[in-house]
Amino acid sequence: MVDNMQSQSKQLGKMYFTVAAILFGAQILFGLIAGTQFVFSGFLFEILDFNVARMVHINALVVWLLYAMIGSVYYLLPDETKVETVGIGLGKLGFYVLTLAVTIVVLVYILVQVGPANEMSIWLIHEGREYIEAPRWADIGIVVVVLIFLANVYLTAMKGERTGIITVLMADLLALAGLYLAGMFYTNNISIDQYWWWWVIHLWVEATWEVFVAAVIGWALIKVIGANRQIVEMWLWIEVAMLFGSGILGIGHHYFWIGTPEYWWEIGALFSALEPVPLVAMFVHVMYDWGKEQGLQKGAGGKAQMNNTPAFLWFVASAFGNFIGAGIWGFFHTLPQMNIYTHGTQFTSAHGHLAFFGAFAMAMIAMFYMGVQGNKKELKMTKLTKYGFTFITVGVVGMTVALTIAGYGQVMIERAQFGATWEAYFIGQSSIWFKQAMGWRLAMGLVTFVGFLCLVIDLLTIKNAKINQES
Amino acid sequence: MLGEVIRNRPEIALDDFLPIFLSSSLILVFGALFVGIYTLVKMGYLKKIYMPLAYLFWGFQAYCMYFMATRLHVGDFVGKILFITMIAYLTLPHLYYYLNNKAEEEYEN
Repeated sequence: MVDNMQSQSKQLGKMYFTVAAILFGAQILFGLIAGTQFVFSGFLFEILDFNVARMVHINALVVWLLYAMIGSVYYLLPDETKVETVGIGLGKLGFYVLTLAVTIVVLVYILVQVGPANEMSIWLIHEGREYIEAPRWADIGIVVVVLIFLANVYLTAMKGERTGIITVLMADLLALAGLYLAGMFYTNNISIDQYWWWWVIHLWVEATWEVFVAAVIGWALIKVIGANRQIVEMWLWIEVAMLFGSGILGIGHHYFWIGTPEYWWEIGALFSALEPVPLVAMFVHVMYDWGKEQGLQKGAGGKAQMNNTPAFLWFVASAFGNFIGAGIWGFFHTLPQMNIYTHGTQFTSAHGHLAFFGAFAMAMIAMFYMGVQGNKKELKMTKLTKYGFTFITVGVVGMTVALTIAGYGQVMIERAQFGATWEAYFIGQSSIWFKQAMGWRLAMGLVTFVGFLCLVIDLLTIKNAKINQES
Repeated sequence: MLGEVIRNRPEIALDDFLPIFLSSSLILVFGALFVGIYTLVKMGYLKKIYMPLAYLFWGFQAYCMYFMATRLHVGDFVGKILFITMIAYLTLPHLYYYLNNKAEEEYEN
């Protein structure tokens, strides 16, 4: 059995968490720059234009979540398999290669920004595919690093125990890695290009990432509150079935406007409508397990088990955030009858902010706290934990509400009243609803940043906080 | 120019946009209240007397879905799909609780 104190896999997991936290900060910082440019359009003009700030903002989001996910797997692997991760040296090499590649890519985005519309630009600067804009050389590097990661997970699982959680993760990570290839080849037809691009973006986010988060939350529930493994794993498999069903065919709701056959309207509408169902199941899952385990412990005369309150706070909030951000904010503009008005407006942005935050960011922040806890018996919330949670959550929800109001203004003025013309776009952009909402979005972005600072300080100091020494 | 444009956008009445957004949000809010109360009653945190309240929220949810579907003019096919979705929302917590109990029984035995 692996000694957790000496586990190199856990150390590697923490290294991934550290870079993930730094990239999370970069995401917020560049989001603030882009948000400022909405309000003060001349801000950093021709130094760091809006398209570059936005590109770094959304790519940093994807990359920090991937870092945190890889880190989470390396962190939980020794616990689940009961052996040290195989090929830890290669894993570390992969980490350094990936980090170097990400650093170079970000520096190129900021310093070079654009190039001629030819092969050179695609290979060396960026591919122009929203969310996954890494240039071709970095694409290939990412594939190599992910293959190392996959090999490590598979070889370790084959050597040690294969729990239900590990088995689900093995299947899920294979799909996650394989789907990236769909966004790598180039076509001259933008509709075909978008078609395959959605295979990465939607199927990552609404199928593989959702399953991944369910597996990680399942593992954490066992660790933090001592949830029954059999029950957690049973629901994990049901969630896998439901998420893959609704997630895979629900991709049709992205096909409405890219020239795919019209049957996708019906398929997309059906499975998009069903997409919130597994999210509701997850929400009930967390609530039920928490209540049940607490009740059992108290009933037996003991104290309810809860050895990491900061992580549990973020995990429970994630279950709610998943439902509200991906469920409510997704559902109310996904049917094609409505989406024709909302597509590409700030509505999409509002949904994106709350869904990514609720479904994934919160769960990964919880994993940061699991990493900080290490082998410490108990980790309790400090004031900074509460400030970090409150500021970040209020900030993101505030941004979402502001963006929703801006989106509603766009839908009514730009699309419904003025018919989505070029002129209508400018009328919509200059409406009081839009301008004021953008101001509020910026203010809420600043609140989020303050929360991020509290979070980072807390992560660095919580292990030695007085409250934990006493416990 | 403006008049022509408005005549060319007949699918959804301008006055219906806000009710559509509100009703579609309420569909999931009522859905959450339904499963939330259902779960709390089953867990014993709420008395059984509150169970009809859960079903009442499902009723509100179903009405909001119907309201939204009619305002969106979704057509027969999607209308039937949304109806099936509502049945799924109604039955899912029951199935969930039943399976959870069965799994626990198996574990304890």
